Amino acid sequence: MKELVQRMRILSEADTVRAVLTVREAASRVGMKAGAGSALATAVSELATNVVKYAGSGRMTLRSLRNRQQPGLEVVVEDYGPGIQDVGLAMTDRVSTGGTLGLGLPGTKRLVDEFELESKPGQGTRIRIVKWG
Amino acid sequence: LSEGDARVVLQAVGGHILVPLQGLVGEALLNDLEQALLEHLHRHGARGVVLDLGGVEVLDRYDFDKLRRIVASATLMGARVVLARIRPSVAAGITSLDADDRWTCSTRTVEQALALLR
Repeated sequence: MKELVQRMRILSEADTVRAVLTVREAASRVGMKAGAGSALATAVSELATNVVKYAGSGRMTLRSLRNRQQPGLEVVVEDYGPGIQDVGLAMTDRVSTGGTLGLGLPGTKRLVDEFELESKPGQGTRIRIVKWG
Repeated sequence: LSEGDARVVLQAVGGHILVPLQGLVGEALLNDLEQALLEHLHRHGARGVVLDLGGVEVLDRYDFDKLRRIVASATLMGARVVLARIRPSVAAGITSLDADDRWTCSTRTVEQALALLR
């Protein structure tokens, strides 16, 4: 079962705060445990901030899931920025590809149950994450 | 937990400053905190600062790095900074994200933080 909860634009830091708030509220509404909801919200905070800092604009799509007798949420964060030149490198711990902090993708992946990344240089990046619980 | 409660309040406790942080701390709130705290230290001074994170449920790597810079600046201005009441979700998040936490001094309660600064 998969149901659209919300689709929103990410253009500014205020949008990242709204995105995190939306995910926190949805996690609570679908009955996820507090720890799972916070982990997902932290992951979304990272991804949305990456969009603002590295791509400039993008969007988040949030869907609710139900599987294996537990609730879950799927978040897709897409942008139309410069893309990631070397995805393998970006997924290696402690590799910075931009500012001093880098994208933090390995850490974001650790916070969720599913993590898929598609990126084409010059076209943008799409990251899909799922958290159960 | 909402956007509306993003406000910085500095409370004087003895010779120290207590800063309760609530809700979602983003870049804008942390910039406000930096400005208010450093300005207060410049005008009035303080031996110690307690950043009470008990009301914060989500903290990403960017927020945590900004906190690190604020603590470094306050330290340069002669104050010791202690983080208090970090929630399990924030501790687990920061660890998962592999954020640099070598600069932190933290306690479970605000009372413990104030005792540490005494």
